[in-house]
Amino acid sequence: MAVDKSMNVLIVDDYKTMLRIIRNLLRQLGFENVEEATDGTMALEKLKESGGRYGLVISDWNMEPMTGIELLRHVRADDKLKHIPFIMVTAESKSENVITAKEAGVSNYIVKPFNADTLRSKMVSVLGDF
Amino acid sequence: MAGRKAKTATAAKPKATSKAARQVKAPVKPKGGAKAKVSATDKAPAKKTIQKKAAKKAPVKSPVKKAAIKKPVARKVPTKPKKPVKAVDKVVSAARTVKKSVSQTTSAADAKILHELGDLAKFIRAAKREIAAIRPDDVKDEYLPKAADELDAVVEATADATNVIMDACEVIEGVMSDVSGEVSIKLMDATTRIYEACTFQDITGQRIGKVVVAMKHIEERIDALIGAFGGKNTRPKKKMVQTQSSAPLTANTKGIADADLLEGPQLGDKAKSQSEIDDLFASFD
Repeated sequence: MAVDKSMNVLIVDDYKTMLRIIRNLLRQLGFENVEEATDGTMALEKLKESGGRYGLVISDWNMEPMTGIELLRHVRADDKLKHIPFIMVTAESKSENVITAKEAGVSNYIVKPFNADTLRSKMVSVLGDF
Repeated sequence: MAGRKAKTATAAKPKATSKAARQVKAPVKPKGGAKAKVSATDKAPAKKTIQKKAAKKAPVKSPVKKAAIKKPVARKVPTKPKKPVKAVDKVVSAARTVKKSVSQTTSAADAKILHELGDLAKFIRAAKREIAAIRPDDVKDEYLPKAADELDAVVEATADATNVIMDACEVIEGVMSDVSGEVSIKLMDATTRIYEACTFQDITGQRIGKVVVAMKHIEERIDALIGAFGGKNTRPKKKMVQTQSSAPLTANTKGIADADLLEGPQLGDKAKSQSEIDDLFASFD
């Protein structure tokens, strides 16, 4: 099944520059409908308001007040949101972090700094080829 | 307690007495006018009234004492605030005590201990002087916050520069459609590389955040040092930038608290590559 590139993608990071970088990379990959949140709380609000219309969440881990891992747990605990693929993009590269994220139900894990190929390949692994 | 009160009252007695005397001797103005002559008999009731008023408040015999109680000008003698006994002072004090007791029955071994204790006390005094000389208050209140501000400025400057670079990239992307397919692909590839390189800003910011946290730790240690050597910080605290996440302590199934997982970018060998992360991630499947 082909990936619908018109899907809404929610990107979450407390560095606005990083949000812009990811947005631009996604645009180059053909994903134009990108929305932003600067922490887990804002992201969760957007997700809940949307009623599950997002096709993908790409989130940083280390944010305040709500971290990426907490956001992931909230998403996975919500029946309306738990189906949404969730990719963690973070500088936290310890095994414990990967294990914790996996246990919480992360779809894939990207360590910063990353390149466009990595972003694409992880999106393919989660969404299917595009 | 009662004893102390009594003592205080006694100590203040002279002042109270003179005031009471002034009160009692004060001429009573006649009701009939200012010029009316006041007789000795007229004065007496007024004196009694004053005494009665004083008696109502404190039933004591002497009019002087009565007045003293009525107008308690005697203040509680302020006691000096207790100086907190610092660990170092305790050691010095203990050394002196031992020195004193040992000196009464001095053997050769005792003399050696005495000598050592004396040296220890000298060493501690010298250390106190040296620490005071480096002015730890300045380090804590001025240099560390200033360094934190400078680091903030570095993050801000790199963010600004990154945004300028990306502005330029977006302009390039905007004209891609105006050029041939091959050139457009090359431009796209180049801008992608630039975007990837721009992720340095996020990593730089996080690394600097870690430095600021380390500086915060140093500030706390200096605080402890000042405290241990009996100093006190009289200057208002300047708030240092706190970038460490205050994530709640939610433990995962391995019992690791979430806050313990926030370390930011790792250095050199400690940093895992994406392929190592992929291997670890795949091991769950």
